[in-house]
Amino acid sequence: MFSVQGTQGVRQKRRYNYRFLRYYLWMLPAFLLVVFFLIVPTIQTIILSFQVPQRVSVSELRKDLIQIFSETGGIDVDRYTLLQDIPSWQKGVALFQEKYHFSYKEKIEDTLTVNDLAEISYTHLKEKSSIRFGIDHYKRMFTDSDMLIAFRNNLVWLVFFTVFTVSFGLGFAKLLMNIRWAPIAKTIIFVPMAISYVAAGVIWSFMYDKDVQIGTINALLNFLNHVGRYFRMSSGYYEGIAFLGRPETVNFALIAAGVWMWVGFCMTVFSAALAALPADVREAAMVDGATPVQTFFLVEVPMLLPTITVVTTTMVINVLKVFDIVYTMTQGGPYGSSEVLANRMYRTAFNEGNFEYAAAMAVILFLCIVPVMIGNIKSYYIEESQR
Amino acid sequence: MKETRIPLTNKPYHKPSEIFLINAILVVFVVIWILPTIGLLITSFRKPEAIVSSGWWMAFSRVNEFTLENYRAVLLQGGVGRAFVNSLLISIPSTILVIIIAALAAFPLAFFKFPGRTFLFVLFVSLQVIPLQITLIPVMKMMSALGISGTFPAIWMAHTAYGLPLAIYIFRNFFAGIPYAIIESAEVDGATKFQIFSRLVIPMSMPAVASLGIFQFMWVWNDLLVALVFLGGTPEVAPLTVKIASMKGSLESGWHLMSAAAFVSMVIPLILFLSFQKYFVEGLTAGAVKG
Repeated sequence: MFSVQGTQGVRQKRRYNYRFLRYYLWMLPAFLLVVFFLIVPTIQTIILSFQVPQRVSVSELRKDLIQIFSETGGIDVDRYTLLQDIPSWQKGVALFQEKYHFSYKEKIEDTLTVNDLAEISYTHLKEKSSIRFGIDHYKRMFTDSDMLIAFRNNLVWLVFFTVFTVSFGLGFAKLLMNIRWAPIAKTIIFVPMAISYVAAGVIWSFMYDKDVQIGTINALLNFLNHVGRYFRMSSGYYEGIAFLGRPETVNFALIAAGVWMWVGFCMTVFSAALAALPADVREAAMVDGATPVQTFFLVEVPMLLPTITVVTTTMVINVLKVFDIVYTMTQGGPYGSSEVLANRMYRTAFNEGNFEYAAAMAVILFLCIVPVMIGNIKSYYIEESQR
Repeated sequence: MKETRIPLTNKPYHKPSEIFLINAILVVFVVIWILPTIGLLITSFRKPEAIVSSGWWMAFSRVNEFTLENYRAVLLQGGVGRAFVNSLLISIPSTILVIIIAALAAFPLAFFKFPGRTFLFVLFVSLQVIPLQITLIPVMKMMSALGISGTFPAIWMAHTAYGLPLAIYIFRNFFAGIPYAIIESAEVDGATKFQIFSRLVIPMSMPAVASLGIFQFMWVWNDLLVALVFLGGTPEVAPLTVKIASMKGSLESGWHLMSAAAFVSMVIPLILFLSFQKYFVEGLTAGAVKG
């Protein structure tokens, strides 16, 4: 019996010619799409992020004109000075045209003021913005208060979202291991994975509604408050918390909704991993007198570490890209306190039209994921070489 | 009292009190997990004046509470019906295209040797984790230059391209499990490469087609970002996610309309999930890191 590798090798040697080129044809549609939608745009975005457009403004031109006329004319010039009052103003105009590489189409009368000339120049120059390369956008990010909040929030998401999804997922997987109704429970916990972030956003905005007659969480707190009054522990007056309207609660409210969606995924992966653990290890621990809790933390969790790493990485990647849920529930508000990187990037590019700055934000996101990509590339190469 | 039965399996031995505790904890969490959805579902069938006067948990204690009017209103007047059709028009072609194009590409990658095979495979699949944000601006500019921005073909192409890395990975791995001997014997019998592909490999790969198809469909159906950028929020082409997000942002619609609209968007994912749970979970697990 030949091995697969062997037969392929023989076939290749015998009929080696350029017929392999047709294999590229099979891949051509995929290749073109990936190149034009993923690879080239990635490179373009990286280049774009270093481009600093030099847009001219009227005030800048005016400042330049005043300076040039002051030097050539040897007098003090301000914006209302008439050209006829400036000695050798024609020379100044010529110098100015030279500096900005353009020439006036209209005839320049000496009855114009410097300000008029600046405005005329602007109509010539506004289309002509030059581009410089630099890291200005990256520098700006670290002084831009909206961006600093976004960085902080992404970090808060990173810690809390990851810790809660992974630990709840692992906890549910373990607790459900030998429960008869586990399939039903797993289905219920997994359902939020099936719906969109937008629908989840509506569901949770409804949960968080400030009105104690509408929002479930506030109704619950209201109820507890009433119970508290009965035991003389609270005033009994409760007017509801606007979870999504307060800077100190909004991020945790959003993270809770995200956790609600993703625990199902973590649980499913951990369930499969737990079921695949060899039974004898667990048995041995039990024979040695370990309690179920000890068995879990000292035997099973260490054996699950590779899976835990994979799931954690997945959650971290998710956090970096979190967008829909913020966009739907708060739009980054109140006062930008729930902004995240991806949301900032979207608004900067598509609401404010500042593509260069947005590109720099996208590059930051990309850089965070590059280590994962490199790790994947390595493991794919190993996978391939073992085939 | 009967003595507790010691299980014969390798289950860790739990005292009945522990088993009760575990069940109780699980019941609490399962209730927490399902309550938000149930609350909104009940709300979507309540009259607007009932929603603001009492909580959804009171709905069953009152008479004359329920109505289908909310659904009628969003579907016929609110434009959610149009958005539902748009979502289908976006998701179905994007799913079919990605299956065909990825399967074609994965076929030689899985079965034949040729120069650059490993490089191409790694190139395709390593793009799985790329954040879409880094591609959006140039792709949008390209589409405006081609004059197709804001049209369905634009978003079909975008979703297909973004879905390919994962799809090629899933197909390549599934194909690799098909014994090469089967392919070879078909070749000996004179089958062309395309016949092998369409009559042998694809029919044998239906499980992979199912999980990938469901994953891609769900991804596109639930996507907000790509639709926002490439369809520009034009109502005639906006899918459900864009429509609902804009309803939510505009603050015009009350909870009676928001809740009904949200459930309209959830119907198809829930049906797919409940009827193809196995493929669904497989697909979602494989694609968790996508874009």
